[in-house]
Amino acid sequence: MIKVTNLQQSFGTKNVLDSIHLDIHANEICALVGRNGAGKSTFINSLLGLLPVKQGEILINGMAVNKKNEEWKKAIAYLPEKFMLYPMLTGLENMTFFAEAVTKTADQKRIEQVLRSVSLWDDRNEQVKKYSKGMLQRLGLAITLYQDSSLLILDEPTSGIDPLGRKEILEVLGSLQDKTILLSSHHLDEIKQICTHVAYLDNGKMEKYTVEEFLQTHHLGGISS
Amino acid sequence: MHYIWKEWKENIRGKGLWLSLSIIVLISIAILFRSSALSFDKGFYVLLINLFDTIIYFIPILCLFIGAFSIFQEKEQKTLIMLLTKTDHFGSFLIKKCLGLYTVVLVPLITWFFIYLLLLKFTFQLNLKSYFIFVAAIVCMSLVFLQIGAAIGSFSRSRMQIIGYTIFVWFYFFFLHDFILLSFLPDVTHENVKLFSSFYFLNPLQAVRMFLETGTGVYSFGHMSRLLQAFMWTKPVFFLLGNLLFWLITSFFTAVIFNRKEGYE
Amino acid sequence: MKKLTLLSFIFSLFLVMSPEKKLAAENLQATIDSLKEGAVLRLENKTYQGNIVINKPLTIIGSNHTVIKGDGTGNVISIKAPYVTLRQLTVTHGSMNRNSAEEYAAIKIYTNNNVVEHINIRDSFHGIYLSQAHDNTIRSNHIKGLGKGEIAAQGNGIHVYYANNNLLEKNTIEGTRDGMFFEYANNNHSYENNISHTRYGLHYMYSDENIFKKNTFTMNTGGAAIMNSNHLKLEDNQFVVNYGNQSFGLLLLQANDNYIANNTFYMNQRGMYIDQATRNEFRHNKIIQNQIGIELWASSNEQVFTLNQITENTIPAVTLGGTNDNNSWSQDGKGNDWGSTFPITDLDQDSIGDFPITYQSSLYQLIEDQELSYLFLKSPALKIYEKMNAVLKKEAVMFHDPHPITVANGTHAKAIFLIAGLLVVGILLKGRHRLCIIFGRNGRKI
Repeated sequence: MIKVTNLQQSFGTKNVLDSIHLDIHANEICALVGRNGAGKSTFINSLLGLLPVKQGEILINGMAVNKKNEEWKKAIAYLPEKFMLYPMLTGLENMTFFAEAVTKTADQKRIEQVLRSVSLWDDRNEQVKKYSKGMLQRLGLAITLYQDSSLLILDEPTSGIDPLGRKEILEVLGSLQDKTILLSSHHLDEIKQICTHVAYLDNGKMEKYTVEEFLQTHHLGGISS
Repeated sequence: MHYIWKEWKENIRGKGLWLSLSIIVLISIAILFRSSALSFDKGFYVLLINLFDTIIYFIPILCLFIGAFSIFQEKEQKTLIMLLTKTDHFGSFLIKKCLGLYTVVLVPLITWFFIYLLLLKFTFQLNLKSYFIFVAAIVCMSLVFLQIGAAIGSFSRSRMQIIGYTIFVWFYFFFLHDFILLSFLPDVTHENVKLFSSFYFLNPLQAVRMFLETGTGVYSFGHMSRLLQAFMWTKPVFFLLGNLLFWLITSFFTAVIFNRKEGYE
Repeated sequence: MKKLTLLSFIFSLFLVMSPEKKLAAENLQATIDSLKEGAVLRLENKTYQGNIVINKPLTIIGSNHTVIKGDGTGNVISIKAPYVTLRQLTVTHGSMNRNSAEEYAAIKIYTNNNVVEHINIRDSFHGIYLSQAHDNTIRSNHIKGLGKGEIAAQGNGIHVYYANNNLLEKNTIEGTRDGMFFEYANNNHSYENNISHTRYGLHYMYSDENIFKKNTFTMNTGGAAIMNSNHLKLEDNQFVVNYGNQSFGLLLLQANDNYIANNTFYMNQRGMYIDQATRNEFRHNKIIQNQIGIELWASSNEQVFTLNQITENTIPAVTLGGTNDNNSWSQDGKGNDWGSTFPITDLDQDSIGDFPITYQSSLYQLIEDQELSYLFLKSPALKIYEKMNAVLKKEAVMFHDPHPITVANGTHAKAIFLIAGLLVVGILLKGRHRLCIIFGRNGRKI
């Protein structure tokens, strides 16, 4: 699904990503873990084509990530960290707008289906500025799910959300079928609950583990604890 | 099209646009009251010129702020990133966004000036052609500064930067540009007057003013000297169109080339 | 039978030849010729063919739609007898030939004591021409020319040539070359005329002791140009929006001993332009919101400016072509009101400022040397340029008013500012929280 080979990114003289190799296969839910400032955002921006790749190669579904051919974009749905959407529009209006950004006309049935799946259908006519953080996050998730892309890239999807809200989001993520997910996270319980793999970024290098391997390697207890 | 609809809903439900429009409305009404003592037949032209001379202090800065903050909010709200991962590239996003901005700013503005025309009907003898030229001048000025504002919003990384750049741009066009030209004015001769004229009309405020005053017949170019004829080497409307094209294109490409996708340092 | 055939034949001849027009023309001139002196001729609502010559005292009164249309070869109506009255007519289609020896007009008056009133004039070289014609009254006529741009192709609205003691009042003239042109014409009175979109609204050449009062001049290249003419009185006139690249409200060129009082000069390129003029008195005028209030060339001497309101002009007054101390900016201890441009104190409350005003500027050099500098008069950069050049370039005294007058400021503007100020304070005190929400993070409550 995602194949990264020898990816190098630097800012000035500092090597943020140093010869990164990563393989994420279909239907894996992979957590991207690292300390603050390790380069997680840089890595994600590179995957999304927002940062030019000077050295290395990134393949999404076998398609190279570059500006010449942007077919690979159709395979990805991305949800950034700390987004706010359009606060003056309602939930439904936000959904419709982003839907029309993907397809020329919004599929209202699909929108309803997705909003119901994140339990926001009843709040669809409220302005987003009145949503709680959890509701906003679920709406963002709904926008990414509308596209029905096979690859979801989520940047800290539960950041700043209360425990009940996090539970709701994780339930939604856990219920997804046939999706490959790369999510950046600082929460161990989240990783334990829904992830199958962990990509650990440290000092510009990346290692991929299964969740169990990661927990044992880094002395963080097993899955059951 | 959906960008226009989205911008419209966002701004109509917000306060920024209404605040800006209310400033224009207040100024227009104040000028109307002040001009009520003027004669019925010629007072219309005096009012238009006075109104323009006052509005010219507000519309550029308001449009700069609206354009800049609108683009910046897309970055701050992360909606820009979400769109860029879906749509083609920043340029196509910017075109659609700007079209939305133009609609959202110009439609209420033109609507207000239509209502204003009805108010004027009770006070002065109207000349529809002149009024249309006045509205066209305001529209052109708004377009230029909205686009420049969008460019500022694109490359700025914080609100303070936006305020700084905006004030600089406003200061440049109001003072600095003419000041530089005044410094060169003693050296203007028949050989270089055309170049001087091109720089003079590069200032959108001068191009718009000349278009308005000549179009309404208030400013006349009777008995032009050779130097002045060479200075006015084409019609004011072409100076304005050239200016509009220049700033729209320059601002657009500046925004695309220098854009910062993130709203923080 | 034969008689009937002959009659029909003659009748059809008339039909074929379309003799109606010719009949009409012959009718009017013939009718005029047939009338006794002092007769009154009432015309119908139709078009009469010119050209006509009136050789006897007559009154001709038209109806609402009476038109006298010339044949384009000369004057439409020539008045060659005294005591003729023309009223309520439309006169059109005089000769537009500018190469002829005679200057043609819609109505040309060669005699005295005539009255021409309520006439609409179109499509003629001159509108009304008074040629050595005295004591005439030209009143409430409407003269329309080809437009402000056409200078050579048309003449003046009213042309007064070697004609004295005429009264020209309440006429409306637009789009002719000059509105009213006085050439060697003395003691004429022009009242309440409205002149717009011409080259010069009023143009005096070698014409003395004329009076013009309560006239309005708008959107001309020049409001009134007084050249080589002396002892004129200009009172209560309005010179408004005479605004072009070389425009002015009032021009005085080699004009002496004129009295200019109670006039309004508003939004002109130059309120007054004074060159080679001597001993003119300017009193109680309002010179407001012009680009240059008064442009005074140093070739002018002994002007007196007193009790004028000279305010809100981009440049209040400028002296060009050298310095000249011979002009007075006050008389009998009373100068002018310079408004907020030159704030002054009046501690003894005698309406005279406590100290004189001297205005120095370096802009005179720019205005003298470079005509394009007029294009920058509306730019806010000009003031800054002036201040900065005060240090670098030589400033010269533009005027020195030893007794500037103070006037009680209008409370109107103060009231507005007070209300606006209270509003702002109210918002800041009570609405801060609201403001934070509005201008905070996208309307989301923080």
